[in-house]
Amino acid sequence: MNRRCSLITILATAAALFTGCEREEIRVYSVAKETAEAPAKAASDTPTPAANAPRPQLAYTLPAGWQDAGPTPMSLANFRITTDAGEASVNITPLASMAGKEALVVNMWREQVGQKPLAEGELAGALAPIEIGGEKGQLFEIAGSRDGQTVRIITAFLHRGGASWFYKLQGADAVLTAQKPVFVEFLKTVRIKEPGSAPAAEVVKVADPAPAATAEFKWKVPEGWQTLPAGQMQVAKFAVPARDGAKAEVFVSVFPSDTGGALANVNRWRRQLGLEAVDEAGLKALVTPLEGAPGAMLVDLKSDAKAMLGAIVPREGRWWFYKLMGDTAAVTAERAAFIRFVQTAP
Amino acid sequence: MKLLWKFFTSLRLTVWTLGFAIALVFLGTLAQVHEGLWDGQTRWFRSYFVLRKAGDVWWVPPVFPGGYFIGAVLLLNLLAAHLKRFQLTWRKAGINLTHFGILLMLVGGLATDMYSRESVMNLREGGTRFFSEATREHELVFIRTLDDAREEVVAIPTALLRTGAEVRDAKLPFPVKVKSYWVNSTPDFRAPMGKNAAPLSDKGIAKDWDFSERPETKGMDDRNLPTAILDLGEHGVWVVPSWASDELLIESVKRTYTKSVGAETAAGMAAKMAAPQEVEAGGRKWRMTLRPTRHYNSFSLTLLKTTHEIYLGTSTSTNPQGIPKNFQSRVRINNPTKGETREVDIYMNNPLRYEGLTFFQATMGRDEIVDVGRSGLQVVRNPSWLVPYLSCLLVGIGLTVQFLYHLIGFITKRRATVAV
Repeated sequence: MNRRCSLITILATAAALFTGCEREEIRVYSVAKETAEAPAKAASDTPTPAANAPRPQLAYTLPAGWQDAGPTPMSLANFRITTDAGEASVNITPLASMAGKEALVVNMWREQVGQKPLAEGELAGALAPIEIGGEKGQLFEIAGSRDGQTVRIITAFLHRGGASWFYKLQGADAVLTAQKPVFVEFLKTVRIKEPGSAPAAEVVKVADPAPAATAEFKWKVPEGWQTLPAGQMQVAKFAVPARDGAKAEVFVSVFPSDTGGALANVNRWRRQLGLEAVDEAGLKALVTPLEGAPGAMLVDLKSDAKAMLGAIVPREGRWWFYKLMGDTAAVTAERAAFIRFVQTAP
Repeated sequence: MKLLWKFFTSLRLTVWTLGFAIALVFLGTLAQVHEGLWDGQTRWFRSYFVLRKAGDVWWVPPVFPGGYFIGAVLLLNLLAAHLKRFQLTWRKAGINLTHFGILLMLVGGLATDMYSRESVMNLREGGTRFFSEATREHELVFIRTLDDAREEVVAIPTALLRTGAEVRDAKLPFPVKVKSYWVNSTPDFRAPMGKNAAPLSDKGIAKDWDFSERPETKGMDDRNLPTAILDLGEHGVWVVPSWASDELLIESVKRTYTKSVGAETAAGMAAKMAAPQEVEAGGRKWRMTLRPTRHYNSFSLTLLKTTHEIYLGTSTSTNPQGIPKNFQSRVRINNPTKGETREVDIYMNNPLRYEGLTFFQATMGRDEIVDVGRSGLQVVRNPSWLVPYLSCLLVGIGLTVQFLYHLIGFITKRRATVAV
């Protein structure tokens, strides 16, 4: 055979061998629609009870500074807490009943933050009783790290019917320290309404953060008043001078709304003194306008040896709530100082 | 040119090439211990060169000729040597036939490698499939409804889904920008009890499920489950995991979570994973999924019955499944283009050969979702499957002819000597 012809044949074969690789390309085609295989039906095609079942509803009193972040597929309620010290979140999640599996619950959380599981004997010490919506629940705290970040979680849970309800507070350490008492009080207010039962009570929402307890106020604190640590939903708290053993305290709170109006608040105060609620007509008889503060009102309440002087003062779109409460002698003695304090811009 | 011709027609080249081939088979086999069967074979035998890389065992040479290179050089060498020395005589007929058979075997091997395709068709009893699925390759598909009966599919092979790549197709009303592509991944439910990272996207499955990258698996029995994070321009970022396209995987996820959160909640979580992901663009809804590459046929198979027989008395407490005696699938072929409907049995050593495909009985068991039999058929397309038989026949005939030629010549010569 001619040598040139042979060489061309060889080179052509070589080219074919070294370039014959299949290329990856986009394919476009039409096919018959897929139908479920008979008789089987994939689990994923089956609407699950969890996905379609009506969800329970919640009623609660939202603490000041908590923002409602709405429900998610897993959690019925989510809240965000943003403070100068950092952020935290709260969520409420019902899961299948884990009654009797407390060790599993605690250890599941512990594993998530890189902590060793607790032994059976150590579990009792990790759980503390707590009131959740009038029922007895349990609370535990864990701290550790996940993905290189410090994590602290406070979890309360309650076995109820065929479910276990989890209430979780998670966030920066400083925020959790400050918010733990608020969280504990919040848990007391939560009410669960199962589907099909009577409508849940209206959610009492106290949105928008109040001024931080540490904020500096311009008011002049009357002489003799002693500043105390503010409680939950309070911006300030004072102890007035004792009079022959009679004591009283001043509480100051601020909210972005009138939180239900004068009647609701006055009746709440009356209940605190063991008095019966009044109606609108009764309210008019109780309140007097406060001089120097347009729209503000003063309420005088007495019950046996206890007394309360309350004031509701609208200022620049916010409602300030002042309360002088304690033994009657101490309240009476501080009345004038209290009124001056209320009249002062904070 | 003369040197090149001399090089390719050299018998020394044949010896060297065969020597390298022996070494390649030895090293390539050893490498499969470390690299896994699939990756080892791909790297050593389905390549032109093997280049040493970080993490290789100590004996891997910096450069070594791969299977394609050695096969190609051997083929060229054989071809060139024959073109040079070819003589059309009875004396050389056997040798020529034998070498032609070897040439055919080499070409057939290459054709098999290039054009054969293996996939699986998994069926549960009563189920019908028009397609089989690749065991290792995946494709990103966008599907839109054409009418009540048909859908249009735009299938993008994952080879095009490199991180940072942008894929466009005239049929798609949006570009597909690949933010990330993970060859292997694992899901993690965005549980409220855990500290969740920021979601990968605020759309579709990513609202409830996180996915994270995992190392690529190498073993033949292991499976990579890729996830793609896609930027569809004005339609947002979408997480498309292969997990969501496999009902058995979703079932296994559900069972895993059932242990910790209970059946009802786990079912809800699984439903979130299986929920279809759609974007609306150009007035049409496009459903997207990342699934094993599908190979559609013009006919369907329906699994009518599975038969799983074991040898009597071999089922024990330690081996309750016993020693298998017979795996058999009775299927119905329905070919609307030919108007053909018939039933056949597929069992060991009795594959179904139909329309250029061979269906082997591969796996069998009970379905994990519904209590019916399940059968896995290995589907092989190999256009050159007859070539090895033909080449062996030619080599056999060639050797016989050569042997007989010399034997007859020897006997004839001996008789003549005796007669003298």
